[in-house]
Amino acid sequence: MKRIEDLNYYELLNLAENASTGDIHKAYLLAVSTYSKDSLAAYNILLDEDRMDMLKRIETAYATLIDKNKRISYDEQVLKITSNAAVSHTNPSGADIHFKKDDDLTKKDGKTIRAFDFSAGSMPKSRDKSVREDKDEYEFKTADSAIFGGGHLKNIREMKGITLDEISQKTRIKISYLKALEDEDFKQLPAEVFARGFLKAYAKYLALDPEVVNRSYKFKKI
Amino acid sequence: MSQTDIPLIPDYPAKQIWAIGGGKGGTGKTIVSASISILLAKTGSKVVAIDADLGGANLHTCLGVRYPKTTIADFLLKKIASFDELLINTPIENLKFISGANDFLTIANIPYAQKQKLIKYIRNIPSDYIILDLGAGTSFNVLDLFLISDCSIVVVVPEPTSVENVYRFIKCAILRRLSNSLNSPRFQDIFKLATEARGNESIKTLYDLLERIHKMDSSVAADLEKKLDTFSPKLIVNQVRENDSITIGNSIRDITKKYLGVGLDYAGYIPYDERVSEAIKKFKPMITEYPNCSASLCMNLTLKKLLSNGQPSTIAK
Repeated sequence: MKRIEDLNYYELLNLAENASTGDIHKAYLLAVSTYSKDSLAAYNILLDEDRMDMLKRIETAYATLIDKNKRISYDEQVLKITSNAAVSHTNPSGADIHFKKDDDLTKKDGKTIRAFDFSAGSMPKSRDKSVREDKDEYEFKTADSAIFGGGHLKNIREMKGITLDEISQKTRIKISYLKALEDEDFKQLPAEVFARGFLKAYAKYLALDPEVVNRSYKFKKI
Repeated sequence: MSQTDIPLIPDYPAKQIWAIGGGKGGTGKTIVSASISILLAKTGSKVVAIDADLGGANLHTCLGVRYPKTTIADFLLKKIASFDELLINTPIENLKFISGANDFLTIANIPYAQKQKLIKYIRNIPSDYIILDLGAGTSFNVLDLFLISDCSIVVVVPEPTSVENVYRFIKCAILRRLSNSLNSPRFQDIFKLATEARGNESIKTLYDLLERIHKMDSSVAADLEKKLDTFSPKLIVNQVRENDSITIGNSIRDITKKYLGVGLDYAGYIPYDERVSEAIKKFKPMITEYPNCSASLCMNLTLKKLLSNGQPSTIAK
């Protein structure tokens, strides 16, 4: 067991050290909703100062891990994980970095070396295959595949001090639609294809990954 | 194969005790216990479901048994000759049932010796799975039955009172587990402080407790840390009505890990379903009466997750 102060950024967000960018976004969404003011999970369990302290830690961890350069620097300096220099210099496209699995972590001179995989497309392909071939395993993960609904998004918006009016002005989406997204009042929304467009714009304005939010938001009640 | 290679005893999977608790009443522990028992029995395993809610037994209703002839009270009050007489057949193949004790005022608070006797007999029941449906609260009787299990399951509903109680239950369970493993009275005062800790007191988290013990005896602290690391209850979120409530299991897991040091495993969620109360009103098990309702389907998925986690002997005794 570790003290909160001793948790590294990955531990704070419950991430593996080879987490993808999508994983980081998702973990951040969950962490913020866990420690937000209206969180049911934190209700009467944590002192308000502890909850606020945790939110600050989460913000710092997220800001570091989501930035490729900051993350590499953090990994090297704090976790003593160094990137494979030979490979890391061959990324002229600036494409998203895909970290390989744990078994690609090797030890060298007492340090852990992480091999980066810049071969865009290879990772998603193998993931798709694994989902197709292991349906049962996929089903087992139902509980883990978090659904981020309107309540979570509202918590994050409020935490960031952003009003619906502000989002409406910048995105030109009617406030009533934004509110309906947060309230999951689907009857007030236009056809799903349009509503998803609104959702992505809303997420983008909150600096969240629109695709992660779009995938995890369900346009139907349980 | 030579004769010496032939195993004398067939390699059956070891018997497992699963306990379903959670602190608060009304969260659906009994429905979950009944559903797990029936689904396991349908896989061909021999299952005994025990209503260990001695103060408010009603598992029999959820299993479709109207009037249990014998109860644990009969055993504790020596009204029957042997523990085996408690085993009642149910409408489900492979599933037997032991009823709790409804009608005796004092039976919910059985003394230590009787509890030990009960635990001994439970451990000796010939079965593949023993499912314990525990009562509400954090009494030592409830906690000790929870802690004898190979797979301990807590049920929570997404409501403030239930969530609050589930943390309290887990905290009490882990403190009881650690406390039970210590023989020396010199640590008991520290445990008392930890149990009563609130706010900014000196022993606020389990980390503080372990640190304090470490200063007194590092080997004892190391042993307790092992006990803490191997305590991994499963969490089921029941009566989910909103999409957002599904993630509360992940949130509870996160807070429990960071602030209590206990690694919960989120096994699954069960949506709120009117069919549950409809089945109860008919005195029928939900799983058999409405096998395709959303609650039954999610119960199936949750059980798969529980079984896929490997033989849940995650709790080292």
